[in-house]
Amino acid sequence: MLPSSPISPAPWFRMMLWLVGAGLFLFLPQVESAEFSSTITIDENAQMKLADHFFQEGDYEQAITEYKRFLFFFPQSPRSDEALLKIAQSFLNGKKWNEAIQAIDRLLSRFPQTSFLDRAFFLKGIAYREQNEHSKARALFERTKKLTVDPVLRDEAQKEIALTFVREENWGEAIRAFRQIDPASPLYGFAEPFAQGLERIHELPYKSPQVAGFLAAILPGAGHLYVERYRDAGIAFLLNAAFLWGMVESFERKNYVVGGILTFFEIGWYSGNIYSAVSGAHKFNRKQKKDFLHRLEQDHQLKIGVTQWGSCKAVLFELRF
Amino acid sequence: MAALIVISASGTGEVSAEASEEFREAPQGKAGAVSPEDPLETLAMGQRFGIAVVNFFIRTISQVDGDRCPCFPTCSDYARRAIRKHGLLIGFVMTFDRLMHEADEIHRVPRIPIFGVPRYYDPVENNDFWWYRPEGSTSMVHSTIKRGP
Repeated sequence: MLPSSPISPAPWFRMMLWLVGAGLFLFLPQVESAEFSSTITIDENAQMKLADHFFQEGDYEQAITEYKRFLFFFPQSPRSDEALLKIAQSFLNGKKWNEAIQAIDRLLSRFPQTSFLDRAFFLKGIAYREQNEHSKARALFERTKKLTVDPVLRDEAQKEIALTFVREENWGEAIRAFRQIDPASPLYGFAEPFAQGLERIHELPYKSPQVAGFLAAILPGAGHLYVERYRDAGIAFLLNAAFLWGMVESFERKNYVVGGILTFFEIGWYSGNIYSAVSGAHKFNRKQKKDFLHRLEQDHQLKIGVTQWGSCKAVLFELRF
Repeated sequence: MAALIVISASGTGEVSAEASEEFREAPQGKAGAVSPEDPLETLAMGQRFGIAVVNFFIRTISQVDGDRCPCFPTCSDYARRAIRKHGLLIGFVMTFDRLMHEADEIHRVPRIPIFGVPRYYDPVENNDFWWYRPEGSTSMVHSTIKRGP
């Protein structure tokens, strides 16, 4: 009987190796199927969902890339017009107005009969409005109103028409446009108080540019005082006084060259002082209107917040009216 | 607002979104049909003279005097822009206005980084908005109205 080799494994160990090998063999198909199950096929809906996911996260650049990928892989998809519209919306949300307009034009040229026609005109109107092209924006909002069957979109378009008039400071038209919003609309709660507020916009404490200019002409700096620009008032007064004094002194001492140079500068300071006072009055009025409109807008929005009430937390709803 | 919008203004750097919303770069109209990038040859004789004087100031006096203007565009650049846009006479008046209104204006306009240096945004458009209507524009006002609920 031969002695067992010192390097041969023990029988129990061989048995274990067999078992492990057999186990691996048995489990291998399942591992393979698991690998297959982690491989997914991207179809139209999955690609659109991915793009929508980026859009909802506010990553508009990535969303645009994914919508474009959708258009590349599924050019015959019935949702192509939707992807093009969402590209435009992404550009708009990213404040890229020209790109948004181009995207909508692509949509309209490829799908002139798309069911998103009303939405496309609306978005294009927003892009024009943001570029201060109010007439073009209004024309597009009007087309939206005519085309759409969605009452919410119709009211949104009407509200945007009103806001273009607000931007042009055409208060009467803005009030009329706001009042065309249906009282049953959810936007009515915004539109009607806004219209009422605009009726009071003439009552703001404005400064008269004419008075500012007149005061500045009488006494340099006085116009600035009137428009509440006190530092400017001091500078305007001192500069004019100094140059005027220097000018007079130079001419009295027959130093005509210095007098001439000082006169040149004094003309600048004096005319600049009047221009600055008038401009200051306009800036004052602009700020008054801007702050008023901002308050008007903020005051009629629903605000939600969380606060500590004793030992417990509370959710607050605030609606000013 | 975190987003920055870069506007091209003679390669002068970046402007915050707040600033750009407040004072949008107006398209150049009939009276100001000359953009800051146009060559001097397209300007009237008076405008070229005025800009030459400002350029002389920039190359000689300002080099010694140093950078004193806290605004963007700087006062001398503002003068060139105003002369280009509105001619020698109005540009001259607007330049003196700018030199005078700095003290209060810096408390009322947004601060923006220009090549890493914070400056107060006070372009020509902030001072001619009340009388200058760019061609094709229906509004002289650039107030910011956000969308409602």
